[in-house]
Amino acid sequence: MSDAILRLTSISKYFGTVRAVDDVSLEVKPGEFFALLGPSGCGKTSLMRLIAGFEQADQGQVIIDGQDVSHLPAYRRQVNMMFQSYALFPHMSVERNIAFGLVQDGVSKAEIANRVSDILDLVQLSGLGHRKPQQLSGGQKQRVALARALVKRPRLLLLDEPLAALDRKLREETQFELMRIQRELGTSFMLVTHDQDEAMGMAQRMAVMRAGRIEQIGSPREIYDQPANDFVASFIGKVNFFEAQVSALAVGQTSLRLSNGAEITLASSAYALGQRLRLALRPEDVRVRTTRGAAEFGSGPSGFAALVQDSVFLGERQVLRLQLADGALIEAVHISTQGVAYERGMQVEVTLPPDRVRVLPA
Amino acid sequence: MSANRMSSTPQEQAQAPKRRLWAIYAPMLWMLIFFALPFLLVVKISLSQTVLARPPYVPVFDLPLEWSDFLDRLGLFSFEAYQGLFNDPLYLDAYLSSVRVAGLSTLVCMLIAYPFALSLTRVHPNWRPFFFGLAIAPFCTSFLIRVYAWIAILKDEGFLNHLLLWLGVIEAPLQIFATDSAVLIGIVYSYLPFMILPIYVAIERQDQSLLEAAADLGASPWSAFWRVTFPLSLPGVIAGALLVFIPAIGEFVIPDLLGGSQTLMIGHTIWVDFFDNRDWPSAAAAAVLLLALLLVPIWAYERLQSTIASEGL
Amino acid sequence: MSAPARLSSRFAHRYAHRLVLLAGFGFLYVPIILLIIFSFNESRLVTVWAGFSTRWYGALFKNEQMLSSVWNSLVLALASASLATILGTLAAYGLARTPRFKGRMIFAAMIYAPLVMPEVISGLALLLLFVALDLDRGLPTMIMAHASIGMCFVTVVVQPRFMAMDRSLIEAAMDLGATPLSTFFSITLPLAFPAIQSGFLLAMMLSLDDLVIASFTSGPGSTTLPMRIYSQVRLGVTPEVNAISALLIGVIAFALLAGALLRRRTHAHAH
Repeated sequence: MSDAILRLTSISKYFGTVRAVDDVSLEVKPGEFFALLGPSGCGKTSLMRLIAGFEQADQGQVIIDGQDVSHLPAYRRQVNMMFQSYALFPHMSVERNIAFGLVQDGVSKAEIANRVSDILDLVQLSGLGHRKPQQLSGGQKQRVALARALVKRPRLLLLDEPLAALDRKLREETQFELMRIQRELGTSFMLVTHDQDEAMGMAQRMAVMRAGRIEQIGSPREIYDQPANDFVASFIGKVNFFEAQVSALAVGQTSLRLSNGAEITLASSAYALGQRLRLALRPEDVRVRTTRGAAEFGSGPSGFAALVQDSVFLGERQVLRLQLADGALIEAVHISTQGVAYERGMQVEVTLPPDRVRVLPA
Repeated sequence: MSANRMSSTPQEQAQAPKRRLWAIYAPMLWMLIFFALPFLLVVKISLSQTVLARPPYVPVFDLPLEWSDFLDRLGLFSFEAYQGLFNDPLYLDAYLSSVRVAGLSTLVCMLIAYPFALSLTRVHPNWRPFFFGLAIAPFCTSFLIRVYAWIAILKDEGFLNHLLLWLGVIEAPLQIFATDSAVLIGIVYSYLPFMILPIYVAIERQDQSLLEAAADLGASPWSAFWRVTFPLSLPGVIAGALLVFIPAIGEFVIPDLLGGSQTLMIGHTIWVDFFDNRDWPSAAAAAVLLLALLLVPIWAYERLQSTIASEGL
Repeated sequence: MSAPARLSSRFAHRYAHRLVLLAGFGFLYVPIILLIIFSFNESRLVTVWAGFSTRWYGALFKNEQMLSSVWNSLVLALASASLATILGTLAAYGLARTPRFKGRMIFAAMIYAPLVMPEVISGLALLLLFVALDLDRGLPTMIMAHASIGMCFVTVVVQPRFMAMDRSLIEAAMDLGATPLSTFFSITLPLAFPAIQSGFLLAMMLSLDDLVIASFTSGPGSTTLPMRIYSQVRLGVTPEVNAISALLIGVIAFALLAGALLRRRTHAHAH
């Protein structure tokens, strides 16, 4: 795959004895919107700084557009970055901020003027070119920072937590705006964030990082539906875990007994009798319905009983916290339009759809 | 992920940015030549013998220094100047009286500056910068002129005596000019801004909600001041005290213009030794001892500054 | 405490603060005001009013020695403050950007010590240096001396500015293709400029004000204004000294006022 815009091969970076980035390899394709997702301290910022050239890797290579730039300083790399703090130069007007990179490249004055006005149009800031950064709102500053990085037509744009400083309403709007601009320009974007909604909402592909390592790379749907491990499963969205043991085998089928006594049957025969497994199920996949009459805890092939401990009404959906017979708590999401409103103290019946259950290494 | 400041990141040190080093070594070289070297010379001259000549000392070693010469000249080393310092009660008296006058001035400065700085912080925020500027502005005018202004006030037939006589407070003019009191007044007046500034800053940056919290918890304004405002302003008070005490001890202009023949201040003594008596070794030895005397407060001041800086206050 | 009592105590507080301010500003300004008033005194005495006159100002402008000392002071202040600003800014940058290097402790100590060093010691030490180097004393040696002290003040004023500078601004410049040198001149230096300006003014003020170090390092023909005033004061208190003092105070008051107005204007402009 030589057509990758960015290729990292076994990159490692140590700070003293700490491995901030540990043997990371990945590729970003032309025109792709890629996200680097992980909790704070996972090494995603260090990795981004390695790509930008603010730091040099201890091992491995950074290849941009087929050229090994591992030992080039930041100012010689065709990568630009939008800083989390925006890092707008306070002593320069919006126009001069945006023109800064072009001036460094020795672009002619006329062309600078053209490109600056084009990019101001693109980010819808025409007419604000003479303002100083201090005179702009948060959202406007963000767009200046974006314009300043994009005006150089980089091969790859790095976005460091681009939405973190914006309030919630603006965040959603900006998200669509970023996607529009990315589509229009066809530039590869690499988004670095700790917010899974941001990553999943914008990226075509994403990498989930933990402790300097990449845990999984894939499309948001792949990662959501088939998380590689416990960490990915619980970091991307919410998840319920169940301990289970294989209780019976049949042709193309495996019966499992859960720790709460319930039984489910998976359409797979890849397991051995007595094997212990860990099951993951998203809250929205937990099926809940009211039990009529039967008030005692119990289990059957059709499902098992649970008690509503808490219910949180969120408008279009209702989040339920359910207590199972063995005391375990699970979460379920119920779509509000489906009639029933659940309340604390209600008895319900829970079923786990076998096709939504994901088996993780125990 | 944290806010990146200019100072650190470990890998930066490892890379040893050579281009940046000249920004350090050029001024450092300058300071070595114009600050460190002169002090070595002071020590050197203090160890030489007094001679009535120009320069008025027998050099122990000169700059193009050769090893054999050095050994020959070692014999010329003399602690004569230091012995003179310890045998002559004049110097001891000058040291003690410098410490006394400077200490007393610092105390008076503190007593005037604290309430003043506190009152400044209680001015309406819109007017505060103006009043603060007004308090610091006299510091911008010439030191010499400010000291000079007091001569006309303190003289026997000066404004103060005129006023007091007119008010009937005194019968005969007070002798203030050419006494230690005049020196003390001069020092307090000249160094007051050094005391006001750190105290004002220490009080002004305190969170106003601290006092509200104290009031909410039942503290009267009086007890809130002593238990919240004052303890929190102590670093400022100490900084101010050192900023007044250290230069006051070596002060020359004030004792020279306001003091009398009885006034002994070590800075003045050094000047007189140097310019009038042309006794360079004694002046140098006195300077070395003065420096030794100041090492502790200077060290304390630098420690205080670095803790304030590191706590980001 | 009842409501009226609390109210009256608040009033008492406010008046106490006003009284303290009044007394404090009185102490600070009365000597200066008296000095200015008596510069217009008709008689030779500076404590007994004998009528308004500007004769002492006239005498001042005929005093060649005084005028030449003003010129010397200005040359000395401008030259030494310029040198101090260059050296001090470099030192501040080095200290702020390089957390560890050989001799950092010594360097920092050398920067901070002159701030509190008694002038008599600094002056004596510098004089001994010039004697040892066999340099003729005069304006050049005074410039070197004042630059050495001034650069320490510049460093102390400028260094926090470099320290507090957001590192991401520097990185943003590099990211946009600016070399380290170009980053320094287009971003770092302009952002530190207000502090550098203050440092320069401070160094200039210190130089204009200095008597002791100048006296130690001066030679024939390089008498500065403070040295001239000092020698006149030693001869006796005269309205002529009051007049030159009043003029100086006027110049400084004007400069401070202009500076404050300018700052307010740029401040208002920025918002």
